[in-house]
Amino acid sequence: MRLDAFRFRHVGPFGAEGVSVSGLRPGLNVVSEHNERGKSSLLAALETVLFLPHTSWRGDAKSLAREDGAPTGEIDFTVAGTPYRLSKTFRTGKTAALTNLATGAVVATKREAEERVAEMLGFESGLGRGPSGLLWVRQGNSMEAAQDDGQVASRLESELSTLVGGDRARAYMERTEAELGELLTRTGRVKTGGPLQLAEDRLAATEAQGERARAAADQTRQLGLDLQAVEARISALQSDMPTDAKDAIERTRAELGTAREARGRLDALRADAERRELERERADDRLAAHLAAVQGYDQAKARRAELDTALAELSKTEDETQARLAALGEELSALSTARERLERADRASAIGERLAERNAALQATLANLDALEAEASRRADLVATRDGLPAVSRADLDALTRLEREREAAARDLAGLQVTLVLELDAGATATLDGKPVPSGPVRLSAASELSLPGGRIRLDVPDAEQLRGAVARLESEYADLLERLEIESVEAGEAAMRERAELDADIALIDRQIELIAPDGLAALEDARERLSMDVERLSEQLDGFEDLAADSDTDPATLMRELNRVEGERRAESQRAEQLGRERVRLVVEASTADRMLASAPASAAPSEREAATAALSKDALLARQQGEQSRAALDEAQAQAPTDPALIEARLKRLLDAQANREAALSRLEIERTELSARRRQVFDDQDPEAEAERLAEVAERLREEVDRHRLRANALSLLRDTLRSSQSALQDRYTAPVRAELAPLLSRVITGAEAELSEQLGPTGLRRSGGDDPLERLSGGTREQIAVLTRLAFARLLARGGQPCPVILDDALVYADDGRREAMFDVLNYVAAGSGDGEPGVQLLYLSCHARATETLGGNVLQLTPWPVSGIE
Amino acid sequence: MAFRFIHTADWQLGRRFGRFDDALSGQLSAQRTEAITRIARAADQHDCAHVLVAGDVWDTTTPGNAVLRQPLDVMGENPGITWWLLPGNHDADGPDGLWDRVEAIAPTNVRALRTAAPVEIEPGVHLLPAPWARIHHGEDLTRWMEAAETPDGAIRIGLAHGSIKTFGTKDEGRASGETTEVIPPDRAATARLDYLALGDWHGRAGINARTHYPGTPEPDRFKAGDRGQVLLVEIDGPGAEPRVTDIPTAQYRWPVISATLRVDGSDVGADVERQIEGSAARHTLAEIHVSGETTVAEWAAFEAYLAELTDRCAHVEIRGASTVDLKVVAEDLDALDAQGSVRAAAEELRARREDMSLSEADRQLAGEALRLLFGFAATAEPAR
Repeated sequence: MRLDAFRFRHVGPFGAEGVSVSGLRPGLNVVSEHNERGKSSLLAALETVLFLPHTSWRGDAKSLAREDGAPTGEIDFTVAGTPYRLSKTFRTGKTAALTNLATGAVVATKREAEERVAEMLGFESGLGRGPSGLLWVRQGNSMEAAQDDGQVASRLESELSTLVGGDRARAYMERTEAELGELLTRTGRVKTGGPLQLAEDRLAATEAQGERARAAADQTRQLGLDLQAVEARISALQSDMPTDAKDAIERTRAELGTAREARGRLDALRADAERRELERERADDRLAAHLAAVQGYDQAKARRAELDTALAELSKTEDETQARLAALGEELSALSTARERLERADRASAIGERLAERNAALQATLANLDALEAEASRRADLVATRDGLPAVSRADLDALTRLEREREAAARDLAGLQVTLVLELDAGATATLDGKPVPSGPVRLSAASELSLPGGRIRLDVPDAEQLRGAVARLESEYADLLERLEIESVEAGEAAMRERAELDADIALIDRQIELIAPDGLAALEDARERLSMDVERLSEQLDGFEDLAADSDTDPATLMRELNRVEGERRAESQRAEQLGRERVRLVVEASTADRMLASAPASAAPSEREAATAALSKDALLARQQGEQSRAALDEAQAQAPTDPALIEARLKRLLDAQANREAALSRLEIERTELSARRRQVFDDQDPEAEAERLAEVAERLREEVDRHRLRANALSLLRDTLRSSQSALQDRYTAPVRAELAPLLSRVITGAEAELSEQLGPTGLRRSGGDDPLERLSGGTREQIAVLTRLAFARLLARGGQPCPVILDDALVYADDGRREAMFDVLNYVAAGSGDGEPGVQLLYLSCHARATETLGGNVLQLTPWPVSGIE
Repeated sequence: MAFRFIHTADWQLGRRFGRFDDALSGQLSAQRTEAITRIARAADQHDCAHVLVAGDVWDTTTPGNAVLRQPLDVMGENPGITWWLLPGNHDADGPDGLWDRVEAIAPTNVRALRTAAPVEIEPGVHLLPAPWARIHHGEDLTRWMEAAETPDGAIRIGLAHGSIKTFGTKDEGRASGETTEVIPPDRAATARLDYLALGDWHGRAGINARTHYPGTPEPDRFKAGDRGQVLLVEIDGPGAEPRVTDIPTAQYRWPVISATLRVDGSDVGADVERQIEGSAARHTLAEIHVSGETTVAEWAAFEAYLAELTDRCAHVEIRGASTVDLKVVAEDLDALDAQGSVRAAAEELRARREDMSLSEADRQLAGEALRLLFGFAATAEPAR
């Protein structure tokens, strides 16, 4: 089908004047009109006239209704090379006619006309909207997917002889996914809150409860075992409570009595033996002491005699020593006196030498003092002379010379300024100069002057002269003042005074150096030295007077004297030591003698020779008797011990053991009774509650049931997963085959607008998303512009598919690219022109009608631009 | 006049049923005590003054006081009957002191048999009990009966608990006498017993004319052919062969039902229904083992039947559903989806299920997925 022209009246905005669009060509046609011109109503009117039965006025047609006349329309179109015109009038008119424009013959009218049109356009009359849903895009619906009323699908089906499965497949898939979704998440994990998870949770909880119940059952069983064990022990203890034990205790007690008596007897024998042994030891000691006393007495006696002899020899030696000491003392005394005299003579000689030395020093000091006095006197004279001269310095003289030179210069300058005034007075006339009368004749003037004359005055001004004169006066004054202050009369006199003063200062300095040589430490030091030396001379003289008694004694050799003195002193000291040693020996001998005397005095009488024999015999007899008695006692003890009586402690230990065992058994029995009571009570308590063993078995069965439930759910989940995957892969495979022709048409168009993109198509052939190199984007995630472009391109692809199948149909786009940016719009315009033109290799072109209210936006679209014109009433109506 | 008594065992009082919900579990537990009343009624009806319980009276050795006392009270309420209770492996007379507790509160017509020694229960009738003193005793407790002396002309009745042959051990299935734990099947003969009343097996079993297991009076597990009963035993005199009659006592039935599905159109549901015995469905706990092969449509119908059955019964457990071979025919696939992806998916799953290179588990999973798909199809709204 190709549209050639269309006209409407009493439809939408078009009233009695109607609207006509004609001149449509194959390829791209463009209607660009501003708003309010009814552009958008054209599409609705086209759909209405083409597809709505003339007897009907429903759906979108209602919005086109007007009250000024019956809606009427004409559509001229060409099918298979034959031009037709479909004319319809709705509502009050209700007519329809299909005319062959080539022959002018009315092909059919009314319903038959509509059916013929539907047949030619490939849609079912009265049911669908024909290609409008598939290929036409109304304003505002640019993003909507194409709706195939069967045209494309039936064409594809005829080629493929298959279907994807449609709603039924979708319903199965949805149900599969819904049921699977109750069990598992999309990622295949068990769904929280789902029946599988609940069953698993219940199973885990039940298993945990089962464990606890099993533990409780084990505890109960252990309780029974414990109780049984306790009762067995009680029973054993009670049955073991033997009369034997009591008998054993009694027997042991009797044995203990016997053993204790035996032990008493043995103790008595042991005590007797010990006493006898003691007595024997004492008798032996007494005999030994007597024999020792006898021996001591004899030894003391002999020693005393030896000491007496030694003391006598010692006394003799002591006397000899004392005599030698006395002789040596005298000799030493004489030698000491000689030595003292020699020492005094030495001291006197030394004092004399020091006196002579001091005296010479005193004389020298006195001479220096005299010389110093003479120099000091001379110096005082020179100082007085120098101080009488004017104190003129070289600077002073230079100042005088400078003043004099300046004064002379000023005077010279003044002399050069003098003026001579020749005064010639009339007789009688007087004149005064500066108040002083002046006679006639020349008057030298060197300063401002005022000459008074009769009848007037002459004032003469000499400014420089006055200044110079002042300077001369000031310099002279300063010069005179300076001479006066220097107390000289002239410069020459100053020069002379200055020279003389210098000479005097040189002399004084010479004297000062002389004085310093005589008394480097000053006059006071020199005077102190004089005093000190005088006192030394006096003191030494006095000392020397004390040695006047020493006669000249030059015979004694001091060295010989000292050697002798040392020898005698050594001998005397050796003798003294010997005397001290003898003294100590004497003391020792005396002490020893005293000791021997005390021993002899304290010796028992029995030790005396007279009594010692009798005493020895008596004591020996006592010792022998004691030994015999001790041996008898020991023999009795050994005999008793040889009988080995039982130790009572051993029997006491046994008795204690038996008593302890009895007490322990009673205590154990008591404890076990308590334990039994406690265990019984605990077990009774168990029986008041649930039977733990039965509960454990019940829970095991519950767990088994839950395991089966989990297994069932898992099997179902696995089966559902398998079903879903199988359905999905089947659908995918079939869908790919089914949509392949459309994708083949769409691909080159899409790639011209969106480089590298490939559209995903649903089984309804609508785009579901876009696949690009960066990944898949579902349709809803794409921008409005992209969705709009894909929607338009899909329609173009359908149109190409239909055209190639011999069923060409125009594509009508009503402001379908409102979201496109400039670049995309240009690309879309290229595609529209490309699709409209077809290609040289047999690809048929598609007729396109592009409606727009954006004149500027369609300036670059190209195509056959059409105008809306009124539809004259002189039509075929 | 013949000596008549009731032989029963394995009451397992206090048993709890954790695999069921609390309500059913409570009912099943309660019925174990209620069974005593039915046993007393049977004894009364058949003029029996003695009920011999051959072990496992209680399920554990530590029952709570209520579980211990209430059955004793029920027994005490029938003073014309003497109840002879033997400790078994579940309620051994061990350290837990169960039988001390029993004797402490038991009514006078309840007698605990705690010693392996003859007891004259009626003049000229001697009971030879073999009580369990611990769970694992490792010996034949009935051996002593061979040497046990009773007066000449006395009726000798042995009462024991244990297996004639071993189960669940390396000796399973061996003839008696090879291990020490088992009771020789000829014990009645070797011990000159007129009757050996045994317990332990929950199913009814007659070993020989003088040796019987009565099974539990109230079943507690799924078992084919198990009904729950006690035995009426009549002994005319010493040496006379006893007459043994089963007396049903169970409230609940626990049938194991085998449902083999076939594609020949046979009505498996009817087979199952016959085994349920329709009128007692609410007191039935059924374990249905499903196997065989079926079509999609028949499977759907069978599943619907099972759902309905589950509502009617106290409890239904289905086993082996994933092993059922679902025969998918072209019509099934057409019904799913004439040409589209659903059909392709179904064919893929069917191929996987029949792919013998896959593991059994993977093939079963594919079958389950296929069943799900057809299940969805069966319950889905008509395709638009």
